[in-house]
Amino acid sequence: MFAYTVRRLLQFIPTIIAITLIVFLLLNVLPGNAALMAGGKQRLTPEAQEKLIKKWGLDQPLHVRYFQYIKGVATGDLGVSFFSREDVGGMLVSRLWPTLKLALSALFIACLLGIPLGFYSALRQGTAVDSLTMIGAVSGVSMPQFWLGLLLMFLFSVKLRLLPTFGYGDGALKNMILPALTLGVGYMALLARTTRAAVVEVLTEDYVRTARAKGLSEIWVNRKHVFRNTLVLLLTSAGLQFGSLIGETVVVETLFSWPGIGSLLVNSIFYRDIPVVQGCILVIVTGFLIVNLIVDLLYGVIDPRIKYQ
Amino acid sequence: MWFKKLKRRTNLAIGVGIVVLMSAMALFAPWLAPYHPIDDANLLYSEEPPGEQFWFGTDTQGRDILSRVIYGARISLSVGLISQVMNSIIGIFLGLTAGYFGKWWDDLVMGLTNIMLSIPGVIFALAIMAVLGPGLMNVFIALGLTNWSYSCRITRSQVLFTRDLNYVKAAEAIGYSKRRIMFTQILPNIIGPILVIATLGIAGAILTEAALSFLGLGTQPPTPSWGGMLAKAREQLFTTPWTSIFPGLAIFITVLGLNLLGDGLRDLLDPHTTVK
Amino acid sequence: MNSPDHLLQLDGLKTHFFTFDGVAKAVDDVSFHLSPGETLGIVGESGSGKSVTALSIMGLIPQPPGRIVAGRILFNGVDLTTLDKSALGDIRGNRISMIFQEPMTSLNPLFTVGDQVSEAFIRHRGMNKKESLEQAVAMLDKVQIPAPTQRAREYPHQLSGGMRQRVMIAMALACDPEILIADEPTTALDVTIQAQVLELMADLKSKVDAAIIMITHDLGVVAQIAQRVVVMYAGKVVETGDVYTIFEQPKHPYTQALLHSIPRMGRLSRHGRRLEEIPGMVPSLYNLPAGCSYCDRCNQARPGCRTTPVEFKRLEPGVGVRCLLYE
Repeated sequence: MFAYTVRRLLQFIPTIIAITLIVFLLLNVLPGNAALMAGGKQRLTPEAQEKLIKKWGLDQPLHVRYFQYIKGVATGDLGVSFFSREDVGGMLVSRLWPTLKLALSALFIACLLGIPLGFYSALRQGTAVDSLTMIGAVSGVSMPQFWLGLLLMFLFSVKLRLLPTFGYGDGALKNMILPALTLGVGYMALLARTTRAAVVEVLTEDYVRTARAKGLSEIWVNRKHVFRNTLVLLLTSAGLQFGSLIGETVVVETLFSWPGIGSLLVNSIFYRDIPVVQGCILVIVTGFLIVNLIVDLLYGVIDPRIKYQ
Repeated sequence: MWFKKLKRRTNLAIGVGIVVLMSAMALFAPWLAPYHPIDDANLLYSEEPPGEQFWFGTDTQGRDILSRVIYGARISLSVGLISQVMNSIIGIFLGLTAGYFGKWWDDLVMGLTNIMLSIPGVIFALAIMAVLGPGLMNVFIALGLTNWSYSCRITRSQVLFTRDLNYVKAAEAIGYSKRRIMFTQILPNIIGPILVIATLGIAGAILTEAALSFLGLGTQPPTPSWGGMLAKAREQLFTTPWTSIFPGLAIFITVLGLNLLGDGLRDLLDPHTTVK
Repeated sequence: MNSPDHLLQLDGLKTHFFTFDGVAKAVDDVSFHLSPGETLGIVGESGSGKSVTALSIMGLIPQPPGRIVAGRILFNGVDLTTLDKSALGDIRGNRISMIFQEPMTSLNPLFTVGDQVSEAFIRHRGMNKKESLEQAVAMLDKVQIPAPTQRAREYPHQLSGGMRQRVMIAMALACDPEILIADEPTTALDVTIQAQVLELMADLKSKVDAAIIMITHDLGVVAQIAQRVVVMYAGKVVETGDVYTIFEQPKHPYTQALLHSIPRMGRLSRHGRRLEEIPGMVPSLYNLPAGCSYCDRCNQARPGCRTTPVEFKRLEPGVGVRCLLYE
C-alpha cells in the first residue's frame, strides 16, 4: 500500500510539469500574438506596443519565457492579466470558491440519485422500470447541458418566477439551485448508466453465486457483496468521468453568469488574455489531477488486493 | 422472449433511423428548408412565435428558425464526422506504430496519451481555440486533435495482444511482412471497437461544437449553428422563449440517435450467450 | 418410486434454458436417488447437464433464462421445486451445501476469509459477529488449514488455490449439512493439491455424516471416493449402478467407451495400444435427436436408435440403463 501511494504521488509531479509545458507552448507558440496581447484594452501605437513587449519580456525566446513562468508559478506569481492588469493569482483565488461550490453540489446531487437508480435498474434487468430508467439516462447523457439550463431557466425564472435567472447574488442557496441542477443532471445520467453496467457485471461473478449458495438472502447478497464490488468498479472509471463534469462546469458557469474559474476562462479566451487563460487551465487541470489522485488512493485503500500485496 | 429480441434491436433501429434522418436533413437542406437561413431576413416578421407561416417562429432578424435549424444540421454533422475521422486516423496510426515498433516511441506515445487523458476534452479544445481564435475552421482543428487517445489505446492493446498470438508468431517466422500482418490480423479485429468509439465520439464532438458555438467561440453569426442559435436565445429568454427550444431539441435528438447507435453497435459486438 | 428412506430423490427433472438461439434442454429427464451418508458420483462430459442438475437441486438456476419445467426434487419427502425463495434459502448452505469448481473466483476478494465463512453461521444459526467468527476459525481448523486464527483475517488473494478450496469446504460444511454437492472441486487444481483435497474430503466424510454428490468427468476420482455412480450424457441419465458394477460390467456403450478411453500404464501400453477416444462431439443441446442422443458416436448403434425415444430401464435395484440394447 505504501509503495502504491508513493508511486502514485511520484507520478503526479512530472505530469503537472508536463502539462504546464504543453499549455505554455500551446498558448505562446504563435509569435504574432505578442503584439495583440500586449495592447490589451487600448489600441496602442507601435512604439507603445514595443515598450510593453519589452517590459513584459515577450520578445525573449520561448524557453527563457517558460523558465521564468515556472519560476513564477513556484513562488505563486502567475503573472498579470494583459487585459485588466490584475494579478492573475488573485483573480483565480477569488473565483475558486464559487466553482467548487457548484461542482461539489452537482456531484452530490448526481451521486445521491444516480447511483441508486443505476443499482435499482440493474437488479430489475429487462423490466419496464429498467428500460424507462435507462431511456432517461441515455437522454440525460445526450442532452446539451446549456440547453437544459436554458429550459430550466425559462421554467423556473421566467414563467414561475421562483428562482433568480442568473448570477451568484450574495451566495444564497437559491442562486445555486438552477446551476447545480443543470450540472448535476448530466452527471447523474452518466453515473446511472455506469453503475448499472457495473452491477450487471458483478452479478455474473462466481462469488455472488457462492454467496447465494450459502443461503444468504438476495438483500444480503446485494447489500454486502454486490454493493462493495460495484463501488470498486465505479472508482476505476470515476476519475475519467469527472473530466467531463469539469468541461460542463465551464459551460454552465457561462450560461448562468456564475463567477467561477470556468467563466473566467471563457472570457479571457475572448480577449486573448493569455496569462489568465494559462492560469485558469493550470488550476483546472491541477484540480482534475488531484481528484484523480484521491480516487486512486481511495481505490488503494478499499481494495485489499492492493493494500496487502 | 420475443420482447427481449425486439428491445435489443430497437435501440439500434431508432439510432440508425435518427442518424439517417438527420443526415438527410443536412444533405438536402436547400430543398427542405422553406426559407433561406441567412438571406430571408424580413424585419417585418421578426420575433414571431411559432405559427402557420413559420413553424418554429422567427428570430429578432426575422429569419425562419425552422430553416436555420435544418441548415444547422450541416454544421453539426460535418464537424462531428470530420473531426472524428481525424481523431481516429491519428489514434490508429499512433496506436499501431506504438504497439508494433515499441521501445522509446511506445513510451513517448503512451506518455502523450496519458497526458491527453489528464486534460478534460473541452478544456483542451478551449485552449486550442484560445490560440487560434474563434471561428468554424478552428473548431474543426481543435476537435480533430482532442479525442484521439481512446482509439490509440484500443489499437495499441490490440496490437500487443495480437503480436503474442501463436499464429502471428508463426506468420512472422515464415516471413510475412509486418505490414501484411498488421492489415490482415490487427485491423479486422479493431474495426468493431473503433466503430463504437467513433460513433460515440461523433456524438461528443457535436456536443462540444455546440458548446463552443454557444460560448461564442465557434461559428460566428450569421451562420446558422445550433449552439450559436442557443446563445442568441439566451439573451432573449424573456422576449422570444421559443427560440430556446428547437435548436437544443435538434442537438438532443441527433446526439441521442448517435448514442443509441453506438450502444447498439457495442451490444452487437458483445454477444450474450446464456447457456452453460 | 418413492422409497421413504431416500434422502434425496430426483424424479424426471427437466431444466431448460430459453435463450436467443432457442431452447437448450440442459437437463432432460434425470432421475436418481441418494441415501443418507452415501457418496454418489455423477459422471459425464462438459455439457452433459451434471452441473445444471446440481444447481437445480440448490435452486440456483438463473431464472431468466432458465427454468425447471418438469419433475420433482424430493428432499426428505419435501419437493424442493415447490418451495418459495425464503424456504429454499433456509435449506441452502444449511442442509444442502455446494462447492464449486473455481476456488480462485468463488470467494469475494474484498472480504476476509473469516468473514465469508462466518456468514453461514450468522444466517443459519443466528449467531452474532463474535461467535460466528470463532466458529469460522474452528471450521478452518477442521479443514486442516494451519494457523486458522491468522488465516481468518486474511483475504482470498493471499491464499493458494488449494487453501481456497479448503475454505470453500469449510463454508459448505459449516452448518453440518445432510448433503454436500461438490461440482468438479479438484478440476482447477494441480494434481498434488487435487490428491490433498480429495484426501481431506474422504477424511471429513468419516467424521461428518453428510451424503456427498461428487460431480466430475474424472473416472479416477469416482473410483476413489464414490459408492454409486450416475452416468449422464446430453442432459439424460444413461446408466446408474454401484461403483464396482459400473467399472467391471458397464452396460451402456457410452460408459464402456469412457472406461476404454482411460489411459493405462504399464504392460498394456507396451503392447502398442493407441489412446482410445470417443469419436465425434456432444450434440448441441438446442437440437437433440428424438431418439438416443449418443447414437452418432455409438459403436453399437442400430437403425432405430436415432428416432426411437428410449426410456430408462431398471435392471436391478440401484442398477439401470437407457439403451435400446437392453429393451
